[in-house]
Amino acid sequence: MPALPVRILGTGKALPAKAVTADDMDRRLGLAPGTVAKQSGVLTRYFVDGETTSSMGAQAARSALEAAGLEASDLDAIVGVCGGQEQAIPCTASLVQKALGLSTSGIPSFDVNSTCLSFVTGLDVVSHLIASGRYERVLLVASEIASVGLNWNDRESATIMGDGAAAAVIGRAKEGETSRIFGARMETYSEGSEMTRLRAGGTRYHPRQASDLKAYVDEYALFEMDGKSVFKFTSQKLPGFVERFFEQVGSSLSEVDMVLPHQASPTAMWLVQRRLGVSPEKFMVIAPEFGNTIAASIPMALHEAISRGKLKRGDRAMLLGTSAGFSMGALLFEY
Amino acid sequence: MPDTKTENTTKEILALLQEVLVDAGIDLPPQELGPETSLTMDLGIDSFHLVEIATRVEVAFDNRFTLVDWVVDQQDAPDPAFTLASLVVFIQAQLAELSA
Repeated sequence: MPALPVRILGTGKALPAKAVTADDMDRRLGLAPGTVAKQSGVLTRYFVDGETTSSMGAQAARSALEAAGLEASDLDAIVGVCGGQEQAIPCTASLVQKALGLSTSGIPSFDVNSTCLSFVTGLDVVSHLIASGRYERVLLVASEIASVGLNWNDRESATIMGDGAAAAVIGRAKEGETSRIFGARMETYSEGSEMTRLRAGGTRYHPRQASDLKAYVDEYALFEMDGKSVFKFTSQKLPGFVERFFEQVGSSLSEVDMVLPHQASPTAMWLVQRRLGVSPEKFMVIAPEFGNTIAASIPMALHEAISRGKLKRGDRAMLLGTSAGFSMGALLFEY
Repeated sequence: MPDTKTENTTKEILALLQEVLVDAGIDLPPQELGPETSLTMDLGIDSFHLVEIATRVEVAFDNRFTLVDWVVDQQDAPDPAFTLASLVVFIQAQLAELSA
């Protein structure tokens, strides 16, 4: 398939006002000073204190629109690419549209969800809609409040997660612009669907069924992660996936200027970086500063790479990640 | 009769690992960090701290190999896992492969 003439016009991010350091986490969890920093590698994360999924999403969106030199009313579509939703119904994109002051605009707003890979999947889907002429300028917005579902008795998952949002405005590359999307790939192995999950929030475990709400929350409404299994599964599956991805898009890792991975955890990123043999300079790591912000982590890494001058126009970059499911996803583009 | 070359290499690697651990802030004299010492069970090292130490070991060997497979394999190994002896064996295998 030929590359799609699609360009990232602008990116943005938003964080809650409240920063929570590793020392703060030590105190919260009753641990000796230095424990969380050593065991998680996440030195700071941000937790909401009044912010909502849609308010953070709108803030990140405004920042992305400003970077793109556009107004919110210039958008043809708003696509929510969040792993966790603000509420079950309606979709988060609709709530972000409202928060952007566009509630009477009629701009189509819908969600694409593949948990932590939602931005990659969303960008893949939207790039085809832009290339075919259906839309001109689309906002992709990922906003996450991981802290609401953390299990404080599970130190491993509780210490790596963070809240935050990131957004990107995508449009058709103009004549003379070399920006393009070379291709994307996703593979899902649902044999791993129980390794990472939050069981409440859908139809299977509805609060109406609960006779004891606290017991229901503890059992079904907290984030569960079998870190060791995820680590092993990723280690086994990722190298083959990446090989198939590059074969599909007709490129190689040596042609990539920057890998923008899902910031699962500093430990997981160590595994991915070494397993693939990517040099540290080409591997964007922001997890120690922000934690794992679920689906916001890849667009946040993209935004930081651009803001910090690590990704420049004409560079070739790869989005890469894993998600609950268990899925792996990648997308190669020229910025 | 012991293989002198392997024996020396084992001692050398163990000495290097002891040095790396002390540099990484493990508050034990090197002589107490023996082959049967488990990084996780005896020293309480896990998760990110474990990969931080693995990175230091990789650097000590000029990044000629990665310890990813050792970390993954040891997660499934029966206790005591993550021993210095298992790390020495893994490193020896990597060095042998590189020199083959």
